Amino acid sequence: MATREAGKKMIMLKSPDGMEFEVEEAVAMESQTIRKMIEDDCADTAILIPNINSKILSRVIEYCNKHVPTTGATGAAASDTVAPAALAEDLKIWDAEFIKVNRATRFNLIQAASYLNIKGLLDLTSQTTIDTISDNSLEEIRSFLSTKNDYLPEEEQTIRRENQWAFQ
Amino acid sequence: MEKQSSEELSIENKSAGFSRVEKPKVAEIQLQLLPYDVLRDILSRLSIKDVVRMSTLSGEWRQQRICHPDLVFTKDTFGISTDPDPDFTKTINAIIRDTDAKRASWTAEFIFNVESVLRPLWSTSTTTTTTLDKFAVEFGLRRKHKYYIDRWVSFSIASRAKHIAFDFTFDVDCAGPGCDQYKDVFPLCKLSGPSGSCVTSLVLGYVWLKLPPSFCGITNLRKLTLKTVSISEGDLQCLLLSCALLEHINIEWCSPLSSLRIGQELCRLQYLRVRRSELEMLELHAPNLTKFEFDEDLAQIVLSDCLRLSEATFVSNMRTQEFNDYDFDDLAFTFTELALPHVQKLFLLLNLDQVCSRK
Repeated sequence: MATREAGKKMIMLKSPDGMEFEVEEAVAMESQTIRKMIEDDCADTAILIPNINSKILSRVIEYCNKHVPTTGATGAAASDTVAPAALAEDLKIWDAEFIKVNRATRFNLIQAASYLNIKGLLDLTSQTTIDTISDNSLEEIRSFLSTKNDYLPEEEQTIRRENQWAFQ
Repeated sequence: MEKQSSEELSIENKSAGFSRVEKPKVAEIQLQLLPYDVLRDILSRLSIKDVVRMSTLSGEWRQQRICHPDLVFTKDTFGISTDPDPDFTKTINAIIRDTDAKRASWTAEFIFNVESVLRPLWSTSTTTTTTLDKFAVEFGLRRKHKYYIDRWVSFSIASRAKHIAFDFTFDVDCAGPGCDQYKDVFPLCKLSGPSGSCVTSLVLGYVWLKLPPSFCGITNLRKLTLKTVSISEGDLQCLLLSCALLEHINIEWCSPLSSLRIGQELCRLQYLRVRRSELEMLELHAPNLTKFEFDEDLAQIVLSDCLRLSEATFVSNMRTQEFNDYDFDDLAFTFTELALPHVQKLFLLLNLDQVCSRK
């Protein structure tokens, strides 16, 4: 965690389970939802983030910390010496590590990214779902989405026939 | 809020329960539990094909009426091969007959497939609970397919799509004034007034537009593109004036037009493109127009009061032609009456030979 510097505005985020997180305003503003609250002056003391428990919220903050544009004091040294391409590559590797979580966490991260409106995080967390649906057979998708095939054989045949193009 | 957090807790527990039997490769996710917006976002990143496959997973899924938020139907959506692949050992008449038969067959396949995607999405024969962002049909449909075109226009309106495209310019086998009889008379009245108030952008291609007397404009239309559309001067004028919020107009290959004069102000118009149309004379009052693109078909232009017009682009139609395709006499172009007093930048996109001959 970066040490608190004078002149840097801090924001308090609270999770419903009572944990408080003090983060830089710039980091919190990676979330469009929080950005809007700050801009509308609804954020003078602490912002309660409903629906997102402290475990998930801390991961979200971790993500925002890493992805906040490095123009500020935190990343100034890095961005002076490292080329943008290398930085992007570094972020990619970091993202790949970040997303190595179990599916429950990933599922909660998707919801959090959606509620807080953090596009990068939503892209990252929903990509696995998207890849699974587009690359796998119907049976595999069923197991991924925990769905049972409840069709009668003739029903299934009709639906297959009508949507034949989608199974080619 | 309390309720939501307990719900979230139960999702957590459920998911935690699953994780004990986790398979190493394929992880489970209960997609239906995601908020509607997130599910929609995920669906929007899949292809229509993937979403249709997903919607057939089970009866339960089928009832959810999940749907891709951008329904864009082209030949590639369904992987339809539209190569006529003529057998040149046959007579020319036989080749034409074959091609017509093939065209009928791939059009039938296209219609069948679109219908199969839409069928589960209709709640009744005229309503749907699906909401779309975009509905587009890009295929060679003609007047004889009117029944389906009308149905799909109704669907696009009922699903509150913001962007609508019915572009039938694909595989045009007949161009020119004699072909109006093949063009569908587009049911523009369905978009008129409150029913079409969601529509902000509209693309129409290879259709015939006749403004019904009751037409009162497309309330929130910002962007209009007409390609190879048959429309009279009077109707075009009416259409542009009745859509009060129009910002962006693109007219190409349209006929039969010779002049377009609109005395009233088009106060929102920012971008205007008129290409390859028979339109020779244009007179508009568009105080907020900033960009304008035209070609040599347009001999007389009067854009008065266009104080903000900063960029005009002239694209010569001869630009793409080979040297042998034209007479030298054709090369000259003159801006007989070009009233563009406020233009800051004028781009001329010309054929190399045109540039040389001007010297």
